Amino acid sequence: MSHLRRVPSAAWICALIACLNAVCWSVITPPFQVPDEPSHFAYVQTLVENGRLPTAGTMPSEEEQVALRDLDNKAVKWHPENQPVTTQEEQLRLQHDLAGPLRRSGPGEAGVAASQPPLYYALQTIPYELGSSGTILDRLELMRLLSALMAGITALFAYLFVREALPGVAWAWTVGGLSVALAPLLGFMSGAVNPDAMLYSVAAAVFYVLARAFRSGLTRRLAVAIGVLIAVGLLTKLNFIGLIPGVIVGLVVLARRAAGTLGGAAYRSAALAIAIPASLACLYIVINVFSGHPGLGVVSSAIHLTGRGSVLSEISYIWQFYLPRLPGMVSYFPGISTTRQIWFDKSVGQYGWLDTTFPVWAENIALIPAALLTILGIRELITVRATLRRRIAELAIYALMGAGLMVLIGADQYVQSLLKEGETYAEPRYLLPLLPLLGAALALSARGAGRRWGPAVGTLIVVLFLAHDLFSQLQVISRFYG
Amino acid sequence: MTSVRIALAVGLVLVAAALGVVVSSSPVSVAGTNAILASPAFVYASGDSHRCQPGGTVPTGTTAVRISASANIGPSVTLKVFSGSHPVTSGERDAGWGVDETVTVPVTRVSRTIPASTLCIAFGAAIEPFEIKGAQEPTTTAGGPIGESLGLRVEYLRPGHASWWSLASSVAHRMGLGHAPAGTWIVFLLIAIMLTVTALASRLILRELR
Repeated sequence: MSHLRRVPSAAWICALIACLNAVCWSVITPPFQVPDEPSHFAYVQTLVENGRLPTAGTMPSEEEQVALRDLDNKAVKWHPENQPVTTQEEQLRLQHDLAGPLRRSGPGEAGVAASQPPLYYALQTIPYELGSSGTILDRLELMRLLSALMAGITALFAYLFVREALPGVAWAWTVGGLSVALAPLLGFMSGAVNPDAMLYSVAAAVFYVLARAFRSGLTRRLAVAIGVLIAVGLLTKLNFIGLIPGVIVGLVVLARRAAGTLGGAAYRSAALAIAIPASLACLYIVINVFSGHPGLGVVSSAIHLTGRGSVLSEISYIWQFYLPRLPGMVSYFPGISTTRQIWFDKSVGQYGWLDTTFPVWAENIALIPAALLTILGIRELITVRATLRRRIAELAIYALMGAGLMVLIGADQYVQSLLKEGETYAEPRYLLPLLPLLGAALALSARGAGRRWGPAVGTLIVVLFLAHDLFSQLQVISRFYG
Repeated sequence: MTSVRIALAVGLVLVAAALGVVVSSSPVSVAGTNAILASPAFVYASGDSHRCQPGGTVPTGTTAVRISASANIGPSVTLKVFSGSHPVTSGERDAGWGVDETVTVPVTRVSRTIPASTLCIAFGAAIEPFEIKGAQEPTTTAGGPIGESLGLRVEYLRPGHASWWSLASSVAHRMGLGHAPAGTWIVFLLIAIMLTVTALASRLILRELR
């Protein structure tokens, strides 16, 4: 409790704002109109009703089938010209059908969600059970509210990370924390049933604990916290694997630093941090082997598939997935600037089943504040270059964590493109585990305006994010209810 | 501290003004189609392709054309509408659209109704094969019908007559349908929450940024 009392009230307010924002998104976004939400719901329903983990088929329970049918899910998904329930008659039919005796235990299939680890879904069984006397829509909303709580945790740790990583200027922490709290994509994803919501929280906590260790040294308590967080992350979503190489290298660097004062105890702490998730991984392998599955589960097939193309081709693909093609590289993305047209434009806004975006002119206008913020950030980096040099190892660790996640996503896309004739699913939400870094970058941008104008620029940055959030909500409202 | 107060006030006023402009504008609506029905029929197309087909009547005031093409990451789309051999309007959409079953291409405003138009669409280089959707249409030459090809469904969009503001009550009604909790009251709840969010953020800014 004393640790909680030491958390500044500003961090709690950022958490509250993120939570409220995600609650809004949970109500605005129609049921099952978020990527893969039907599958994620089916996972939880299988855990509760069938008492086991789901398989990869795509047949949901009768109850979910009826809800998807009455909500016109298929006709609305990817069709911005169509809308869900629009008349009182359709609403009455929906209520009537969902009130009927519908089977909740289906074949226990959860489609794309089935390959994910179970922790998030296990937690979601709590709101599912709490709403068990209501309809599927009641339970879905309660589950979305649990995700919204996780948005609060993400913003809390993002604030704390900025405070640890940029301790010099206190007002800038609020700029970073509030901007993360108001990020519309965080609200959208955390206003839905999707393990991404928990992945963002765990990743933000990892960033914070690492930053704390870099600032105050690797203690046994922090090492245990890092180990437990890695384990929780691994049990939340497989994408967390991308962060692990950076965290492990970070532990080695921290242990070497602490060895000067703590001696061998520093290395033992680092080993403990690695042993906690490693023992979990061993347990997972043992369970898989004894149940007749590949030792590494779904990771085994991913490793098998990723060797299909040549290593150089894969590196080239991953590079071009994010950055402009270099001379000599075969073009995997002809006619498109992935940096601009995939990652930047889609970050401006992509909601619903990725079918709700801003008009092109809005994406073009967004380049202006993005460029200004980048210039201010670079200005500040030049100003504090001496500090940067001193903390280069720490920065390299954060960069490695980001690169690890991006490589993992790129490698997965490479495999998908080989299997499905170049088919590409690039979604900015995959990069949201790096939100704490965005918070720090925005805090740096505000500082880049100088001591006199920095707070005013920081204020405008927060207002910009608030506006982005409000107009994103309006965009979704106009698409589904306009 | 004064500069923070001014920045916050100016920022919030600008947001409120932008909201006012948005709700005063009219949503786009379908003003006409090329009479090809929306259907699940599709063919795969590759990039760097070009096609022309009858475009039907293009309504006056058209500012965008919605094409039934589907991709995860779509290629660039260049669209030209002709009346006879005279270009009437044109527009471009950069690559990167999707995931969608349609792509909307903004075009220069059409000042008069164009009957019996011809529509030419060029797709740029593509990462993946993409779907074009519509219905089988007879292909004819001067000598008569020679077979069938897939005619792309096209919708012509233009701003409607009613503003978002005048549609507010129907939008609010629809927002109360199809989920739990149901009822128009949730719109007021959402407004209250976002006002609380704005107030909390403003208060925190005034307290911390000095």
